[in-house]
Parts: sequence; C-alpha cells; structure tokens
Amino acid sequence: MVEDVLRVIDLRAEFRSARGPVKAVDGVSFSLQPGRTLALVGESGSGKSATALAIPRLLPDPPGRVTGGQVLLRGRDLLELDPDEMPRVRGREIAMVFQEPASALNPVMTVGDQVAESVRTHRRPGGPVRAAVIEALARAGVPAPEKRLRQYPHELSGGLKQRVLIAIALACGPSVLIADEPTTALDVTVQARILDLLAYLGRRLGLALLLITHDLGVVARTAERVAVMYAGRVVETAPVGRFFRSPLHPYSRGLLEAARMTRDDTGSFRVIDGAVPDLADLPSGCRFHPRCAVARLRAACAGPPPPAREAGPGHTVECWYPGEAAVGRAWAGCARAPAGPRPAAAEVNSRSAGL
Amino acid sequence: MLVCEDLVKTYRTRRSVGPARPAVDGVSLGVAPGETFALVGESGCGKTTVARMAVGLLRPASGRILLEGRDLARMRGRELMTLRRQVQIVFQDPAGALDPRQTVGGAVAEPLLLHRLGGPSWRRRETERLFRQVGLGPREMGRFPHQLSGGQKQRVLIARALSLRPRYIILDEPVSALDVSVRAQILNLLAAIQAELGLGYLLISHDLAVVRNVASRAAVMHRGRLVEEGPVEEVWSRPAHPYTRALLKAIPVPDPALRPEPPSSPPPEPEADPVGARADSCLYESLCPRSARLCRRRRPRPERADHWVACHYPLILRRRDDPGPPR
Repeated sequence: MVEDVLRVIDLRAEFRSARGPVKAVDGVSFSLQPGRTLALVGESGSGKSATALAIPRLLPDPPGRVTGGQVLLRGRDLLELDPDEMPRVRGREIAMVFQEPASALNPVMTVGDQVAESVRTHRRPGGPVRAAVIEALARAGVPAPEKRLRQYPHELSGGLKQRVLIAIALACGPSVLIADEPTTALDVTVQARILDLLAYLGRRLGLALLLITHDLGVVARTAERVAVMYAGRVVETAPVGRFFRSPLHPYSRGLLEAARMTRDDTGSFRVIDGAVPDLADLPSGCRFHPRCAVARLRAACAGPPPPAREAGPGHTVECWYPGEAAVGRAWAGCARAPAGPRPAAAEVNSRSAGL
Repeated sequence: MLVCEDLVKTYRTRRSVGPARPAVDGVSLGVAPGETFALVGESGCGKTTVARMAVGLLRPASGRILLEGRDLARMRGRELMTLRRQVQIVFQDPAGALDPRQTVGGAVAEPLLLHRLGGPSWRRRETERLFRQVGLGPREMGRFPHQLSGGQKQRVLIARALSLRPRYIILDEPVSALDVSVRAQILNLLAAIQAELGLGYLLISHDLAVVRNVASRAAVMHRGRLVEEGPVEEVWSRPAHPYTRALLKAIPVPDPALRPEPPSSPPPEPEADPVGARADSCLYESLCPRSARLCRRRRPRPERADHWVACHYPLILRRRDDPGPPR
C-alpha cells in the first residue's frame, strides 16, 4: 500500500455573500499518493476550485473562510500551522498551476526572472540560480530554454506559457502539485501535450497530482482515481477503470452520458434535467435529488442526506440507491458496461449491510 | 443555400511589417437549408472571422457571400435589410452577448423593433412565443441576464436569433461556455428547432465530439485556410489531411481503455508560429510529419470532390500515379 502524502478530511469552506454564507466546500475528504493522479471532477459551482485553494490556504479571506476539517501533509495539519509557516509549505511542498496561463504570469517580467523568483524564494541563497532556472524550464519541455530567459510572456504561445508555469511550480521540488483546469484554456493539440507532460513529470518525480477538471476525457487520459464533486460534496470516489465501467451515482452517470453524448430512443441527447443548485439555498436531503431521475420515485432522497458508502475496493458513493436506473429509462450510459446496474447495486447493499 | 465564395480577410495591425498574412485566405463553403455544416479549427485559425463575414458583420477583402444565389455585397437599403434578417448569429459567450441592464424579454424583442416589425402588443406576443419555443416561460421575460443560468442565457440568445425568422443561423461555439450537463439540453433544443423550421446551421466549433454528433458535413480550418472538407462520418473515420488526423488524435476520449501509452520522455512543445511560412507554401508544412520539398514550394489546392483535401501527400484519396513523399 502506497503511503498518503496528503489527506484531506472533512474539509469545509464557505464564502460570505449578501444572502448569507455559501458553503462551497461542505465536508470533502480524499487522499493523494506519490506518483499518482486524483482527478477532482465537477461542473461550475461544484466547489472544486474552492477545495483546491483551501488546501494551501490560498482561499481569499474575506470573503472565503475555511470552517472545518483537516489537511494533513505527511501527518501535519496545515490548517493548524502558523500563517507565517505557510510560505515555506507552498512551493516547496505544495505547488499550484492555474487555468489561465496568460493571467498567472507577470506580463512585464521576463520568463527567466519569474522562474528565478521561485528558485530564489525557496532555495538556499547563493546557489547557481541561472542554471537552476534553465534546468527547470528544460524539465517542463520548454525548447531552447537559454533563449527564453529574456523573453516576456506575450512572446510565448499558450502551451509554452503553461509550461513556464509548470516550471515555476516544480522549481523547488514539491511533493504535491495541484493543477486547476490546467488545459481548459488551451487548444486540443496543445492540451494533449500538456497532459502528457504532467503525466510524465508526475511519474518521473513521484508527484502526488490533484487534477481539477470538468472534462471526463481529460480524466480518462490522465488520472488513476476520480472524485466527483456536486454542490460542495464529493458524491463518488473510484478508481478510473471502475468509474468509467460502472459509475454508481446517478449524477456521475449523467455526466458520463453527457460526455459520451449518449442519445435516447428518440435520438435526443440524454440530459441531466435542471441546473446546478444555488449553494446559498441548497435542497434538503441528497443535493442532487431534485434533478435525479431515480429520486423522483423515492421519498427517502429528500430525507436525511445519504452517507458515504463503500461500494467496492476504493469505491465510495453517497447515494441511497446507487447504481439503480430510473424506471423506464434504459441504462445505456456506458457502452462497455456489463449486463446492467443490478449486480453492482446488490453488491453495494450487501456491503453496507455488513458495515 | 448560404454560400461563402473564396473569402479573404486581412487584419492590419500597427506592428505588421509588409503585407500581413490573411486571417482568412480563400475560404469557400455552403450551408443548405435543414443541414448543419461545421467549421472546425483551433483558436486563431480564422473561423470566427468567417462567421462574422457570413452574417455581414465584417466585409470581406475579396470573395462573395451569396444568399439563395444573390450577392449580399451588391445589395443596398431595404433589400439588404430584408435579406439580412435571413441570416442570424448566436455568439459563444452568452453573458457577454447580453446587455446587463436590459431585461432578456427586451433583448429578444429588440430585433423586431429595429426592423420595425409589428406593434407593441404583437411584439409582446411574439416575444412570448419565442420564449416558449426555446423552453423558457413568460416569467423569465422580465428578468435580467444575471438572474439567469448560463443555459437559460443561451436560450435567450437563440430566441433572439430566431426573432426575425431567419433561414440560416451561424452558431459560433454555442455550447463551449456551458457545463456538460447543460450542453446536451441546448444541443437538443437546436436540433428540435432545426427539424421544425428547416433552418440551415453553420456551426463554428473547436469541439470535435460535438461536431461529430450534430453536423452532417464539416470543413477543417488551419491558419486561415480550409485543409479538408467532407461528410462528417467520412472525415472522422478516414481523415485525409495530416492536420485533421492530429486534431482527431488529440481529443481526450472519456474511456480509460483508449488512453495512449504514457510518454517515456517529456513531450516537446513545437516552436510557435513559423514566421517564414510563405503564401505559396503549405502552412502546416513546419509541423507535418510528411513534409517534403514540394510542400514548401507550392500551396496545395483542393480538387472538387465530396470529400476533398488540400495536401500534396494526403493520407488517403491518393491518385494511383502519385508516389507519395520522398523518403
């Protein structure tokens, strides 16, 4: 069993708003292992970016605030640390790569200076900074790194900018990398290369990678495990193979059907009805139940919220009726799925009964 | 048919030295009523410039836009207004395309007002009808854009595009700003409207999965030029241009079984835009694994065919006497 580098336990964070506190992260738990990638998947407003920011304590305060839980980095709770100690954790132990490479770089500073800043801040003074900068750029696959030192961000393509950010993030040898939608702003051909680069570096450097994305294609290409977020909670966690073969949460299934552009009998694309709920005004019970085809026939879904249940090795799901299909709605979401959802559901029920 | 014929558009920038390379360079395409034609390409390839020319928001430097055989550039005044109603556009970013201080009902009624159609009560009924048509209730008419979700805003924009009863709609990345769960709702709506009204869609998109699922024909655009065009199933299953194949291979498929082998070395970033590319060469040449001397010397021209490609050494469709690239 690989040891966890980072464990997030029951993390809670909220934003103040005119309409009262918005619980963006409401009891999120997961763990990261070296050399492996966990994809945190969700739509806009699911709380995935707030989770990413809360881990290195970068959530803007105000209006944001971490209200509970633990973030254990090798057993040490980052939320308990003195704020003065955080800069040493960021960069050296946890680094981040953001979505918009253009706005994450300083437009009036050369590439060399920006990488050097990271090298200097986090390394012993007096070292050969220039060599370390060139090495960092080369490691991120930046061609002719010596030539780039004097260039400004606007002289680089989107893909190169993202590589410079990766070089900055990895310059101090962190053990955890949080990448928040790192390829969303990029074209598909560039995206494919950046994902390959992250996968390569992750394995080569033994990085524990938290990949935040809305794209299940990106998940399938890059991650070993997946955690699906909906309205502030992780509703399903599973190894990637299992998840794509037999997702158990109706929301996970809906997402997968949408990503695969599955059609129903009439030739229309399958949809998830409605829209993501307002975090300041959440529905009772399971947060997905107003949109859920399974819940439409069950009163329990509006009752107490479903607990996380074990559904197999490394597979947990928060749903009262995991794996069940709504009546009259063929379970056609997964082309590769075995006969149907029933065996999986039975497995879940027997396991939860034994708990 | 809505036909674009040999469109060329060059943007002048303050920094450009000598003749600028055209943003759109000889693009021809045609959209038939009831059909969805997709224009596919990456950012900066010129696809949005084509969209803006097709709807009359930009004037091409050369080339023609023909609507049912009539040249838009030759029309003036009333005739032009009438013709313009027949081609409408839905933009990518629903938030940016709506005035935050105008109710969405007002936004949908505005084209009717501008084109002086009907009286106030007719316009109100018409707006209500349009809201129903896109799956919104009359309750939403009094709302402001910030009170609506992204999907609802996109429905409002579709209603506005429909208000002048067009025969063609240009859809410029209509779902790329939306969450996946909402994307299907909008695509279903667009399909239903097309089936009901027999509209021709020109779909501008970088999302190859969406294109494959909704378009019947597609053209692939690269650096201002079309490199391949054909029936979607044909192009997707047997891409002829090396660029088309590279694009298709790069799509992340939501199936881990199809994951490519992890790289054993860091994947290099190709040098950005090769400045030296000449107008009389192939513009994909510097990135192409099949590049040969001919590619640097002569611009590849497409032949007329149902599935055509502009490449000296295409992956398929090769003539029997063509020896292929020299090794």
